[in-house]
Amino acid sequence: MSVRRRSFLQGSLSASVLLLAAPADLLMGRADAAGLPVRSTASGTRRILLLRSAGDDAFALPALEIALRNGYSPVESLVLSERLVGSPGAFTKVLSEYRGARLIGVMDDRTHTLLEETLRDLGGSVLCRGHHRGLLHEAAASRHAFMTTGATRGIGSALARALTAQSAEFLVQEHSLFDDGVEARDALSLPAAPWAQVLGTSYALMAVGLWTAGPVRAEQRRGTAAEPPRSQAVVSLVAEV
Amino acid sequence: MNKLSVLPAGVSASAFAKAIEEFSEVLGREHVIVEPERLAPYRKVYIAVAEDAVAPSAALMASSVEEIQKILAVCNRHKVPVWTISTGRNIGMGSAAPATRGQVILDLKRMNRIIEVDAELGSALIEPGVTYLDLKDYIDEHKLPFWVDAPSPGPIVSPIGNTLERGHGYTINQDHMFSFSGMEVVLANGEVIRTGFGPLPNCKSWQAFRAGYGPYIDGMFTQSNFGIVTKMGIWLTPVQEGAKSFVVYYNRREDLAPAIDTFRKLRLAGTISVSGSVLSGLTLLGFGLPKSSFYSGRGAIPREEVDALLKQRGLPQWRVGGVVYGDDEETTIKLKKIRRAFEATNPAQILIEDSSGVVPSWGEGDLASATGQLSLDAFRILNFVGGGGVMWHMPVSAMKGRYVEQLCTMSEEILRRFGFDYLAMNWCSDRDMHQTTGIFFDRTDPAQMRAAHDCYDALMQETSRAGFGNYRCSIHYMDKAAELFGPELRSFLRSIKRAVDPAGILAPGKSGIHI
Repeated sequence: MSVRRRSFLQGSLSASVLLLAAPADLLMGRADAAGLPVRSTASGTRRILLLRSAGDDAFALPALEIALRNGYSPVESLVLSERLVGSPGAFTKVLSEYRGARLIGVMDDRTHTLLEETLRDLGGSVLCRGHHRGLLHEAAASRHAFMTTGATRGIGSALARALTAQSAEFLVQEHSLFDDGVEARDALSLPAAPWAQVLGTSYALMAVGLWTAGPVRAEQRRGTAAEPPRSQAVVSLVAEV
Repeated sequence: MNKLSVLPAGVSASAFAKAIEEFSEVLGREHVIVEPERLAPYRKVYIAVAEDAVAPSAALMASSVEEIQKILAVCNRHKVPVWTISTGRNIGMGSAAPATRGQVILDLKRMNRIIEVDAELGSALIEPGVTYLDLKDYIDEHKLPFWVDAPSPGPIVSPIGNTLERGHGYTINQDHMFSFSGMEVVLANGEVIRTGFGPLPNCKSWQAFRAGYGPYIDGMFTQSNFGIVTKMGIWLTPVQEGAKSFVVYYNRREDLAPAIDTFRKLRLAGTISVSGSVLSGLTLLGFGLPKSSFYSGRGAIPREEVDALLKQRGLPQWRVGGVVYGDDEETTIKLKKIRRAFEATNPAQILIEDSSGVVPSWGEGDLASATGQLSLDAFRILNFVGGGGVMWHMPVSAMKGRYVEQLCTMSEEILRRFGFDYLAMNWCSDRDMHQTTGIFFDRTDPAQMRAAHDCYDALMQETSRAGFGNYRCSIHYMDKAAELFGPELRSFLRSIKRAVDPAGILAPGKSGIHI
């Protein structure tokens, strides 16, 4: 089975160790240097599972950083390998072991379809789903369509704000399933970065429960956001098993 | 509930809240889903409509016929419409979502009992929540000499759901509509009926004799909203003595018609044992690679570039595949006949194999699926374009070369008109050919969403006008699809609907049937 629970520091993602400047300072319940919120307790209360796909470092590394800053160490990850995705029944078996966990990740369409079908079978929830077109590692034109819920709304505005600080064209759409009538605060300010990094940071904040719901705007754009050559299509997900 | 919860049409918020309360009394609160986060997987669609347009108001997970009866009583009392799913894998045609916004989904996944398997006759009486994988696991565990006959997305699909939608597989029981015997159905008023010989006490042939006595009514519960099927006798395929497959490659588009005619003759004669597949070259490519990895332009890949791509990668314009059953002696004779017949059709190559894997598998109509193996390979095609958009167009042609060629040419022309590639998966039987054509589009692009929507409409309308009926369609198109078959049939179906479901609570709009 393709389940790997590995320590961040021991894993192949050791590059992101560089992001952990001073762990003690990161767990003190205040905003970190980038202005992002951190949890005031030393360990996470909800189990988090980072779903890993080939070439997803732009998303996964900032997500790992946020998780580590909020006391999730080691961060559990699940490699969405061909053996897992392509084996009948494998997803169900594996995800059944993670009941109650919050999942975040980016993946291809086939994997997403099989994963979300499994989530429905298991009575799971989808808190945020995004369809994305662009280049994961570059600030090129990109398109994004989000479905959000109460805990995740405002991701579209936050992403658009981060992308506005760059020169690339974008189209960001968000549809929220939830409006409790409470006035949402301004979109969270996220550091300007390629969109996959912004997503990684945002989704990790959602996973640890530190996301601040922001205003939902149906559509925000700059330019035509025509897809660049060799652009990829990926699906992002924040879900609970 | 939050204030913007989806409501069933014509049902007030207070009446719906009362209905939810009553559903919870029947099922327990944990089996009544109203939270947006938990409903999200039920409203996820791949078709070119906004999810909101087909959003359910709630999902109910019943575990027994008795619970379904009680749910229907609540629905009748509050006029709440209910859309039933077995496992909801109607991917590319609406998934688990209802045809109209606000219906409550009745999810039967908890009704997942394999009630009885007859190891002599090869039949299985099952509930809707059973999947092909469940059934195969049971067969393997009990070492029974049978295969399941699954459709392409097999393992995660419900045999009952697929049969009710008239799906098909790849063994001798491949036409699922005609490979079952006996149903149990809960009607809108809560009454339970059994079809065929099911009502007979101590019946010895409920899963063996399909027709029963009097009018044959099983078909009325397929692609319809006249009742909720809670049990069905599915036929299993006896393990064959042996199986071998063949593929024939053609490098010219115009070779399709003679290939189809040859396949039909061999199939009608019984030389080819089961239905096969005819795939276009771009389909073969699309199963393996995302389009962005070999094409950087926008819109459909020009035909000359498709030709060049196929040539460069050693892929044919058409791949015809089929399977023969029998012992070594029998299959050798059959394959000789098949080779001889296809050699007369100017093929580029003919490959014949046993189970050694010489012939590449594409997840469609290959040796694995014809021998009861289950695979998720078919889902690879979702990565061809990506972006979460796919809609299947499913017209049927008579199995005649000139007609199939006409349908394929027409489908490609329409898709290209709207900027989409033509990926054809043709399921070839003895007398008919089901074409499955995907519109693959990017849901992040509003222009592609509109184009995909319009393209589907054009495909449905134009192929129907040319005489190629669509045997199945996307949930958003069911009314229009029903219109294509004329007012008389629709009026008759409405009369039946009014008689069996006067409050119209069962899946309004399914196949265009309303009260």
